[in-house]
Amino acid sequence: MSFTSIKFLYFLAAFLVVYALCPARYRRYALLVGSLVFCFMGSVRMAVSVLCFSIVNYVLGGLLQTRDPIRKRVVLIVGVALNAGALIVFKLTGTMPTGVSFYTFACISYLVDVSRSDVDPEPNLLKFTTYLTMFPKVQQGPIARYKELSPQMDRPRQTLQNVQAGLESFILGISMKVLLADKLAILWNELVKIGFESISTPLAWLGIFGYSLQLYLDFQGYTLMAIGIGRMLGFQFPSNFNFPYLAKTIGDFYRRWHMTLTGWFKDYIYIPLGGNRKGTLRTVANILIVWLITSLWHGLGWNYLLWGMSIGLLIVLEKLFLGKAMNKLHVLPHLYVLFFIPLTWCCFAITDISQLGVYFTRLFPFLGGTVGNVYQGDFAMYLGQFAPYLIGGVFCCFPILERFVKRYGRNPIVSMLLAALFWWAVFEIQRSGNNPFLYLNF
Amino acid sequence: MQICPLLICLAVAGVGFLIYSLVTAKEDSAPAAATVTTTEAVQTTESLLSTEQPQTTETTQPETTEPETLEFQTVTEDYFDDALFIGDSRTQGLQLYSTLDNATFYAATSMSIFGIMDSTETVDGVTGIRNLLQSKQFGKIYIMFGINEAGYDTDAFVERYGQVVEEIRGYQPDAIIYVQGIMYVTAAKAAAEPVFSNDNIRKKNEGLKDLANGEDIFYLEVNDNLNDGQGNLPEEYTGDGVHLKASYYSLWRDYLLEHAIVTPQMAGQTGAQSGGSGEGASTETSTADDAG
Repeated sequence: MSFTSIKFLYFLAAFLVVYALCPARYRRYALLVGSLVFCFMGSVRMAVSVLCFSIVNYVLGGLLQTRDPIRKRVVLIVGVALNAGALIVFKLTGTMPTGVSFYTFACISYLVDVSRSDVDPEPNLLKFTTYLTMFPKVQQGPIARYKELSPQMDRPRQTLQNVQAGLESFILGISMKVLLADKLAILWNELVKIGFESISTPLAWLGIFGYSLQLYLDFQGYTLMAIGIGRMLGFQFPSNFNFPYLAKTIGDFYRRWHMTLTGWFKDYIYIPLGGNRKGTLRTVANILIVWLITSLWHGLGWNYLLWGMSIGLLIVLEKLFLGKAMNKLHVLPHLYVLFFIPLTWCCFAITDISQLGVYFTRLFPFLGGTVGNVYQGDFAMYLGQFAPYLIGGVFCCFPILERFVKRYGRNPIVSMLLAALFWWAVFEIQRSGNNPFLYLNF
Repeated sequence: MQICPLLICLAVAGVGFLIYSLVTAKEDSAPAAATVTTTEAVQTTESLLSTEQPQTTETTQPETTEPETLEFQTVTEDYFDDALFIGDSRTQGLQLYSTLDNATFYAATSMSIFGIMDSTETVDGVTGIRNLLQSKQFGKIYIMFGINEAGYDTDAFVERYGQVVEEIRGYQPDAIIYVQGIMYVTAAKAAAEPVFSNDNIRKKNEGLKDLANGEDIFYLEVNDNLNDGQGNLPEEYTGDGVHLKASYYSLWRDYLLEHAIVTPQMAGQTGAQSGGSGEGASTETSTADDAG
């Protein structure tokens, strides 16, 4: 169920009313029931899958509670293999239940943390299931680790202050997604429609910048909604983004982008492999391994491999010498990041390798390639049409908006503006989604 | 006392939003009635015009050389000097990516046969299709709608289309009106979203064929040039399954160039402007054999 659908908003409103009216000690059950309802409303498949993972990992967690180190090792390996294996099978057969990429990682982190004694295995199946199925994060994260959420689940901080903070986050998120990201998505669709061979070079560059913004606004928008709901329920979910487009190196970018995922890779793959503590050659290998797996996690396609390995390569270069140089400079690093990141997103966006090649010949015409039928005014036309969303999107790349709302959110005027923003987003959702027959947009 | 200002504001603004939704819902049902009355008004003037027309045709038309059925001919691009194209984003693509820069285009994304007459696009300094149709006389008017109305009942669609054609005829008594069949979508698109089935498109097109009269309203099956052999738009012609890629609009344009109606008046006009095409057009009866 998309967060930006009328159906979900009704569900959320109904759930919050029930949750608020529920006596505090029963709210955990309301959350479990609500999350299961959410999963079943998504699809029976989704619900059954996450329940299976919950039961299996709950049992494995219990089995890890042993003094025998060999038995512990075996259970851990079997557990991780089961989770990873299931994920791989789903990916290979192309039959992914919603959220599986995210909750398998949550389960693996649970098993590893239990085996390291970073957290006690959960004795209560209902609580573990609530953790895994928690509806604000089950579909697309953030990947919150069990050791972070478990204490919070025992004592959620349900205050009006958190409701306020949660609503602020939720409204920023839904606005970013509906009023900016979804509008910018149209720009990329236009380029697909025209055919990459027939776009002018300026439009090709506008396209990947627009796509880069769209991707951020969409994902950060969703994340803010998830974090906002979590906050309203009394939980502090981890952040996923730290203004990535302000980064000075590619490595830094990925310490600011989808942080719960990159953090997971660091703690559960990079560091166990030795991180950067086993010499340069091993460090390079570790970085490339991590990025290989990251590519595969996103999708089994040559374009994802190209995306991931390009980034891995750049990060390796940065580890060797480039990073130090960039950190000493001021303007060039930002240009460097804002040049390479959109180019890598291009590989992410175009799944057909030959089409990707065509796009690159439009970005860099000196590469040759046959040009199609270009409309000379295309860049000016699309720039004009999408300028407000591009400007809005760029503005959201800076901390100023979130800081302002955090600081002045309680101010009546700001509150009223946020409320108006929310209903505007709802209006847009209704307009574009309510009757697909009436509002086909061709 | 602890309060949550945002929750309060959401509730207040929510009430405002609810009121606004109810008010605009009422307004939405009103315009439907308005368009019906304007069409009726046009139809009464139409009937006045049609009683007058036989007299004017008798005095201005040359007598016997008018054939019963006009055949399609191949023309050159200057045929479109006085052409008007009306449609949705597919027609917009034709505007940007075909070489028909000399024509006038009144097209926009999400334009539909139900909304076209009340739409407010600005073309050549004129806003709204009615104003545009009253601002100058076009020699030919090409219409293509259908993709945005995929979910609508065929009869309702065809009926509205007929009303629009009649209303346009009211403003443009001498123009040739071309009703272009709805372009197909790819097999993949139709499979992914059954509302876009090409069978439904064909059903609607059958209805549109009945709007043609062989005299001044003609049906154009542009899909003949855009067919994968199984009644779908070929996958390689499109990026999104619905619109032609920029490089393929030439196929649509070529169909139009090869399926043009040239009336004796047009032949006379073009004969005055440029001798070459005038000769070809005036020997209509001899070219009838090789017409498309």
